[in-house]
Amino acid sequence: MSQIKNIVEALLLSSGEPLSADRIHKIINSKESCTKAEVLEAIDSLKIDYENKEIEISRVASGFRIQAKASINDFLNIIYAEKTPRYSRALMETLSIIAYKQPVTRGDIESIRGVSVSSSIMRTLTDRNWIKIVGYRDVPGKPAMFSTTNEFLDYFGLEKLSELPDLPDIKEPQNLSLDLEAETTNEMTQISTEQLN
Amino acid sequence: MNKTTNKPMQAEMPFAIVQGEQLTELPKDLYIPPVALQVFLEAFEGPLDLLLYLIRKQNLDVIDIPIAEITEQYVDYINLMQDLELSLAGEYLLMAAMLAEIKSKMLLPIFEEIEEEDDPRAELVRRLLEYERYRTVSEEIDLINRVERDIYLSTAETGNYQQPDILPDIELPDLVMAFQEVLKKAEMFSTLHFMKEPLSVKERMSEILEQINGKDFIKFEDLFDFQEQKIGLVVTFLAILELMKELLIEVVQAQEFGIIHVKTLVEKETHEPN
Repeated sequence: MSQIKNIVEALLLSSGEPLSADRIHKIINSKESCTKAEVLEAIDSLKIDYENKEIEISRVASGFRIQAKASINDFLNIIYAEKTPRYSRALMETLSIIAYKQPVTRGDIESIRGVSVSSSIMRTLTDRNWIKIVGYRDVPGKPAMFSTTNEFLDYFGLEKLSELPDLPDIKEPQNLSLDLEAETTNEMTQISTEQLN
Repeated sequence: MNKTTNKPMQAEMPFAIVQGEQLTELPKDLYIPPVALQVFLEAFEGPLDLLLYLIRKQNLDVIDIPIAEITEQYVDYINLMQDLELSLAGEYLLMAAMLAEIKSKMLLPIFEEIEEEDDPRAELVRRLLEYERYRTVSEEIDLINRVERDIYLSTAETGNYQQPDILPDIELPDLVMAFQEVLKKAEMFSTLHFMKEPLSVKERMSEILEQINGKDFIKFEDLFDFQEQKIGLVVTFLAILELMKELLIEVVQAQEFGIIHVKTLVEKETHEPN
């Protein structure tokens, strides 16, 4: 048992990507007999071991991974301060639209954002493996439809899409036509000159 | 319908007031570093973003936009950008046209029979609200803990572990394709000089063996001399096929469409005594 636990730990540390319990089970079982229950037991046992350490096992979309606890981020931030990639608002908006409305075409993204989709943003998202083409919409031009990947969830430390923050409710502009007549009687129309500067 | 009287600053939008005088045009001699406006323009992610900014800045209600005011402010921004000779994305101009269209529709008297028609602002409002939903949520996503910024992965070096090379067998069609590449490359070198070359496959075979000898791998393409004429390249190809048949060399490809490598099968021991 403790042997399996050590193998699981080494696999998680050396695989370079999260591993699911099924995958770990298959890997170990290909060389020596081991059940999936033993793998899960080993993971639980490692979790207990790590309680007194500054690392932890976290579960994300692609499986389990070992990561530093947030409690030592103050130290790690110093090491990684200059290596942290920054992502533009445009990229985050594009990514959000794909995440919530998937599968979407570039046209869908454009109609929401009101600007043409930047090719470099799509390339960054594809290169990072956060989005992938899942098919082609059956309309003229056969545009590609994009969805997010498990790697996207992994990156944000999530297990499933439903863990994303809720999309704000649609505000229905139903009473619009009624307001036409009552419009602009309040003070909101005041425009000061400095607001323009 | 005419409500402009309710709006105090409805007419020309002054940029500034200088000594009590309202300036509605950008003074020609006023220098604003284009970089500053560039930054300003880049801060917006398109016309919807700019519009939302204008609306929110004044605590206006998106659902009930005072379209005339917003249009003027928007157009002022656009003009300012154009005065500074910034190249404007077409989307900004399209929005200006859309605003102008809505404004003119709203100025038209409403006839009984088309009373049911939608508010001309409806589509714009719908788009603004929809865009705002995603803009809001994208800001929230930006705050989620993420790898490389808030989550640091623990890894261990794999030390002496070396991935075993698994080289797949190569099929004849792949080889022919590779040879076609060679011919294509050779065409770039083709000059017209005619010379009778005495070419022998046997001779070429030993040349190839000599070339490979001592090296683990050699690139398939490197076996060819592109200066040679087509016939020479064909002879080299035939020699390679012949050597493969006689099991003197092996041709491998590490991955699909990857580089094809040639490797000798002649054991080194055979060259040495005992």
